[in-house]
Amino acid sequence: MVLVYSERNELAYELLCKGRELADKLDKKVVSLVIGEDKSIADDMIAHGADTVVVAKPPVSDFKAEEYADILKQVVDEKMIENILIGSSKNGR
Amino acid sequence: MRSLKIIVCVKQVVDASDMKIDPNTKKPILAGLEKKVNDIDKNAVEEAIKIKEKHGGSITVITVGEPDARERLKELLAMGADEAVLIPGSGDEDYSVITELLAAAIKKIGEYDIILCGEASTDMFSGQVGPRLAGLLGIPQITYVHNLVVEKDKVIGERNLGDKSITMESSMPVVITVTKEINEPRLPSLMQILGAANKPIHEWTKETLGVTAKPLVETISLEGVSMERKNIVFEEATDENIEKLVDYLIKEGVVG
Repeated sequence: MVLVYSERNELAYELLCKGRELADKLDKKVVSLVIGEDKSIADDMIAHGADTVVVAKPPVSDFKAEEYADILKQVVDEKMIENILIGSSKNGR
Repeated sequence: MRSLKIIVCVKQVVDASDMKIDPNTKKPILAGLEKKVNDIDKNAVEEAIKIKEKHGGSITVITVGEPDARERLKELLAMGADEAVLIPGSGDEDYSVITELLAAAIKKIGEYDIILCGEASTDMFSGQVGPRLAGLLGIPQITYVHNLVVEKDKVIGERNLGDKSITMESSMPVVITVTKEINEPRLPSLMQILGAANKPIHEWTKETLGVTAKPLVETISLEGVSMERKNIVFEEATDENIEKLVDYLIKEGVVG
């Protein structure tokens, strides 16, 4: 499974394009992670190439790397993710 | 307030301003290039000195580098760091190994309140070391800080995220990565340079630190990016040429 995540939707769409290519090549599926309250974005992720979208409730506080990393870790474990594409924004890094 | 223990992690980088690219192979010519302390890491050292000036405490600088890094560590001791640790490296360490080494050295130091790093290095600009260190040490981080206030039992950092600035506070110990806007690194005086000769530089090897990690990432090629114009000219301003130009620009994604 290939996981794609960026807190910036535009960046996530771009990554989905590459994630799709990679998954097709490796015969895997693409999981897109959305951390936020707006579930309608899940449809956009599907439209941009995701097979599955995981929508996670955001932590109560503003962005804390460790809390976001915990959510990613949980998805990686549960969905048996082998490849991860993360947007290289400042928070992404 | 008890005395603060501040650790600053610095990287040795080639001076990119002197770097040339071989026009045939596109590879950067690194032979004979002087190394220096990564510019943004000097901002981290400066910030450590400012914190010490205000609150007291001690500053330890750590680097992974070649033996000649010792000379450049003296520069940081002259600026105001109290002691330095040099971990000799072979040059093939990736970020995971570098961070394992730094974390092992920090654990050996044992007590620390604030760990400062530059946001990234001017050579590779991955920005990985600070966040990785926080992960390995299991402590909070505030990255891309362009304004830092240290109080009795907490730090408040303004994160520069480009389109916005976010203020965060954290307990200590904490990892802070700084941007170059945070301050202007000082130039040491002659007396400080002479005085630095008496400050200790410890050498801790990978073996004594017990780090056996091997690089996980392999650099396959390193090439300079050359910028070239396409030199496509649509000469006369005929309707046909204008149409060709517009079609071309659309095809290239310039307009559309």
